[in-house]
Amino acid sequence: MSRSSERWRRLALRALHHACALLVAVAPSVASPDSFAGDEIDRKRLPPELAALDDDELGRLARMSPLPPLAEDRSNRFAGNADAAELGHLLFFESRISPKGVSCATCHQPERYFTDGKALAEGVGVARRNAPTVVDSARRRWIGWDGKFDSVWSQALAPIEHPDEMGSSRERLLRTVRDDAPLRSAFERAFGAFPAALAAATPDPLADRSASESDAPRQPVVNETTVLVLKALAAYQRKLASGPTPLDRFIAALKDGGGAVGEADGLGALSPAARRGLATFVGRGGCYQCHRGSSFTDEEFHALGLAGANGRVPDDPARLAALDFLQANPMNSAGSFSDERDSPKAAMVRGLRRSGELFGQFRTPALRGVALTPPFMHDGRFASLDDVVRFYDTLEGASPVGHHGEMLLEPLGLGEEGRADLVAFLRALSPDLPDSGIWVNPSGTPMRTGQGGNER
Amino acid sequence: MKSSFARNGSAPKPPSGPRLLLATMLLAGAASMTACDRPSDQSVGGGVSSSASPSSSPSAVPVTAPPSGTVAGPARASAPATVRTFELGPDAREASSADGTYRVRWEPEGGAIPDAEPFAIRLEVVRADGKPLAGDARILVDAEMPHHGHGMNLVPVVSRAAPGKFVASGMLMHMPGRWVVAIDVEEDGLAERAQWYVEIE
Repeated sequence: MSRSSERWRRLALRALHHACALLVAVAPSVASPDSFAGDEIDRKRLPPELAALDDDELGRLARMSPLPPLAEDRSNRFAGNADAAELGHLLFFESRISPKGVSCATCHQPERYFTDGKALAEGVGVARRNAPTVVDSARRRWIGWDGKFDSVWSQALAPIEHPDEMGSSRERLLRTVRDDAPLRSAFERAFGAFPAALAAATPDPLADRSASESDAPRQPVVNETTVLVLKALAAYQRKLASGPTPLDRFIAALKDGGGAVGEADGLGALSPAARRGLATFVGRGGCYQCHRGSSFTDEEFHALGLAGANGRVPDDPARLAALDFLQANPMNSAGSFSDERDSPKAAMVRGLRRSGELFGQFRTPALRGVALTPPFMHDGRFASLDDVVRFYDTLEGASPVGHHGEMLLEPLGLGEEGRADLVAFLRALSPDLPDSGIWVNPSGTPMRTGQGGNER
Repeated sequence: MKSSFARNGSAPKPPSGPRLLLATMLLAGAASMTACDRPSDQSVGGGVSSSASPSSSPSAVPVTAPPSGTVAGPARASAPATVRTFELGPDAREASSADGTYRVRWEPEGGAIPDAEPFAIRLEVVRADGKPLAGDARILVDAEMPHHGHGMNLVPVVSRAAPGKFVASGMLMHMPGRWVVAIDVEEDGLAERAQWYVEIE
């Protein structure tokens, strides 16, 4: 058959297929033999509030706990380095980094689960977004509400240099390390001698410079040394891991058969209200669709139709604007400062898809410890979890743009009692807080908690 | 009031972990690779000629942002240095392309699609008569959620492992519900698509 006639034959077949398309669009589905996490749970042990869960819902419940081991950060060879973490710990609370006396801990306060309690972060000025917790940040695929960064260390430079946050520079950051004996000692334990090219001299190679005063020959060593410090900050934050929650104890009791309904470390770890809220979360509430797995996040981005500053439609491009920056950033996982540029994360960065649907999408926040971090959403618009749940329950004030191209979000109609149950469940995700020096200012401010807990 | 969050589609709900239900689905006549067959300009998945490896190696200089206004996706990831050949298992999904020119089979590496995590698929393409795929054929892989109107957040990268055998990495199904996996074979200026429903719990 000639190529021409073959082409016509295929075109004719194609037309036939188009005609038949409607007839075959809904084909029967066939189950795969994959495992069922819900099998780990003995249905007979389910308390009455959860007895009606179907197999899908039970599987979702089973996958909520335990947290898997923390994955390695292949872009940061110092991620597990104790000396680097010690330097990072000192620097996290070091306000001399900023000419205005702002430190990382200004917005990430241990006593507030490493948030600041404000709607919008406040440093030198007021930032555009709410300060998220840094607890468990090493587990996040993308960092920041818009996922502008792909690692904790690459993110750490942004607040240091942002005029509304710390208003500093990498030169000042390094000067602070170089000129402070404990900081310099910690640096040299982790990384070796401080670079001779940046030693104190007249003129100071780390003097503040305006953007137009480029010091091109010295810039590479400034950048490389800055990245070491950033990786030390990440090594510290990697240690800020959430502990077990009441939900973990509840699910462990379901899986292992330990603890009775009335025991606080067994099935009694969740109150009846929290159990009802759990049923809503894995079922009719649909929360699980984005808040997935044991971290309660899909690590990706969604647009909820939250009205923008104009009071009508979303006006923060969020993920759409972040993507170009992320891919162009030489400090991303695929960039020259990464310690492994061929990692799966680096491949993800290179392979990100850019499209208009990313407009207004924000990262799905993880929910472990969520009750400890008010206010909520990317701009802190909701003061309490009750407000957040009320939004999903009623969608009052939402812009009618839906989720992507479809109205995936609809008012849930939970009512006051159902909302309270869901909030009780979210509070049961508050972890035990460690009695660890790593969680406090090295100068010695103990951590306290003001909210959360397992309300009954 | 019921939320549309409730399960997508009418598929039965067998027990599973992060799991998939599959339909050997059929071709919604979407054989041609025209723009109108795609949900958006960006939704064409990563592709590779069956005789070439894609794209560049990682750069030691700042990554260049795509030019303003381009409709092309971001720079494709480099292919793995070596992609080993493979034999698909008995559970591999199989379907004919739209016009029956090709038989396409695929399976996720590791046997199951992970929950909201990147994964790769291994796929095999042969002609209906069993002859090997021509060396200049091009394979494209993509997936979308037809009910949501969006696709994956990553552009898959397809690498050739052996004649007619490919690995598509950078797949990511980040939401539960019905996805459509589409594998296009492009040859001699024509393309044919094989596609499947994949139900993610």
